[in-house]
Amino acid sequence: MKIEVLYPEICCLFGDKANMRYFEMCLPQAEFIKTPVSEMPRFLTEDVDMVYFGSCSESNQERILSRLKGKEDRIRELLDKGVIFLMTGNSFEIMGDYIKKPDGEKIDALGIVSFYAERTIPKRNNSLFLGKFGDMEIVGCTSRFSHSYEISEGNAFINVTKGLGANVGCKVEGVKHNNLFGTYLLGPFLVQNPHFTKYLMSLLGVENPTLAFEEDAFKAYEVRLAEYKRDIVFE
Amino acid sequence: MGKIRYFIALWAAKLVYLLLRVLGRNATMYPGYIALKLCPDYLGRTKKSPHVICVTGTNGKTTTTNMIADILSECGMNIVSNRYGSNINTGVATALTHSVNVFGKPKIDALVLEVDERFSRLILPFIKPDYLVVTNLFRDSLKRNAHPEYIFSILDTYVPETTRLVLNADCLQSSQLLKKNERVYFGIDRLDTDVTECVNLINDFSICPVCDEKLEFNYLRYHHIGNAYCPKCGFKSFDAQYRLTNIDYENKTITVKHGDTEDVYPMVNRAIYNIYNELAAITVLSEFGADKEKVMAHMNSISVTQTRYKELKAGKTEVIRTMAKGQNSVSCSRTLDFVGNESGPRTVFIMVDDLFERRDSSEFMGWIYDADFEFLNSPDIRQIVVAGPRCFDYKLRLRIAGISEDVILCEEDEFKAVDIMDKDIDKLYLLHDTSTYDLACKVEEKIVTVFTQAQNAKGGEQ
Repeated sequence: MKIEVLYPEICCLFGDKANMRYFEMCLPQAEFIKTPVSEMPRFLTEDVDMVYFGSCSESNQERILSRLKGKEDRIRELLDKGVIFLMTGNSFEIMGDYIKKPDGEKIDALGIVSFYAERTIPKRNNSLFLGKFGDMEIVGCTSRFSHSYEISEGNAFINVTKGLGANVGCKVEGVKHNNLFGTYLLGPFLVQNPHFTKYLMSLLGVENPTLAFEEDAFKAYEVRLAEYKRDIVFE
Repeated sequence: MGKIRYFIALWAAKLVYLLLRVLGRNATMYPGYIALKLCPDYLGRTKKSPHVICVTGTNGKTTTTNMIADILSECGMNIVSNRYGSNINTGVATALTHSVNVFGKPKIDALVLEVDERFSRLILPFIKPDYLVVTNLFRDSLKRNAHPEYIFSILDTYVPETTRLVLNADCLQSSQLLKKNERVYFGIDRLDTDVTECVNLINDFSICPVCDEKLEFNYLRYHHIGNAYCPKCGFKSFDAQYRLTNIDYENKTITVKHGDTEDVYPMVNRAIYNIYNELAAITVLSEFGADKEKVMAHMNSISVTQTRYKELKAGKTEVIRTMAKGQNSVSCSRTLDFVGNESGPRTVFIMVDDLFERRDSSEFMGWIYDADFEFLNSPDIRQIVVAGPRCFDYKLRLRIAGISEDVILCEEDEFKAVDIMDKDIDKLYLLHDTSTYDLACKVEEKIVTVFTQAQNAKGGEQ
């Protein structure tokens, strides 16, 4: 099993690094490849089972886009084959049609999934989040300088229960296309969502997946879930 | 009209200050708030003192500002500082109110201001400081400060061109600021403890800003603090004009070289991040023209404020209460590094939850995965107490850091944790956030009582 972590030196804001660190502990048998920004992604020339991107600054988002422009067909091919792409924070915006800057300039994105993002700098959008993916309750937090728009129902990842969705008032959060999971939830998404982590492991073919420190992970999750279900301030 | 509005604002702010003081309030922010409400350009209209020194950056602002203000006062200057107040625009407006008389004439020699880096756009263009010290730039609270590039862009846009900069040559991020401004750099020469590969989880300046190549480090101290170069394009760290060439921990001195002169100063605090703060203060005071002998003499009497660091005894146990700013992974990592590198058997009591968020919301815990809790993975650390509503998150974080479950005591109630923790220990490090300072003081009181009783009872049995 081969998992590529793309550009970990720049896609690592807000605790996102913990996702692959924890996943490595959950999947000791897997090979994790960390590709720096100075190198081409391995998934372009090799078969991989999963690709991970974490949150990044706006300038680094543009830097990544410039690296991946022209590689859209390969990304589509991998997604058609069922390869998992997990993208946390603002990183999934590169998969949309374009990113609109506050001055109106549009940056062409990869066009893999039909939606667009719009930056709101200097307005920071902060919110706790509670939602549902299938029968899994998802918890987390978003903190970003952008929103996403025109995500079709078929491409929505999580249904919003409480907190900020893809944009203000939107009832869905993030995008899903085949096994591409893109979410504005950032930081230790997999650490904080043990049900989803087990689901990803099963998608990777692991039978009866067991998490690292499973009991502690579920305890922290259940405490947070109960807290988020109470009447607390989300935004 | 603007002038009348300004004077109404000034008098209102002075009156509000007096009233609040009569009511026993600190009055560090509200007078400035009133002034800015009545006169939005209050900061720009207030006549400035002959000298204005500002300090900003992610970490070390308060300590550095206090050192500068204390020493200038000791040198006989009449100064106003916002040391007990807010470092945002309202706090600065309050400080400015104190710096002028009722006729709006400056009545002091110098203003020494701590400025919040995110709010600097609302402050620096209007007060146009003579000197701006930037201690460093790191990632901080994600909700407020987003990421270091965002804060960098604010400072790079809003610092006036006339301001002379005092920058940290070892901070790869902040040293790149405002290339057009006059500047002087300070830095610490290679230390025995330095490395060339980052041991921290986070290094926000690991690739060359010119060509994206991985940077090489001549020495790396922590995170992106060090001396780097690009093996491909020639980009490199700036040279420091004020170089700390020796740290003598035994005699508690530091040696600073400027030009051909080397001077020995008393060391205010042994933590390396506080040595950086002291060096920043020495640099700006030297540039400002403060009497070197007086600076040296007064450094002896300076101490890091007790809200940040305090040592006391609980029976035979030495208790060290120290701040580990929550939601600030780098500041917290510095404290974890300090505690991890101390010697002897010890317990670490962690209570760094954000008290304000726990009242009506829930803290986002992503930052703990950027903080180096791995530094606590030491056989000499006999127990780690994680206390407060977020204790289960901390427990999981410690497990991911490789720390055995046997070492961890996880308890939601901080006071109950004191009752059930091990008390037969030489040293106890109590780590708290700024928001949990008052709570930490109460926990500390209980530690002193409970530990003393437990140790006396044990002594009696023997």
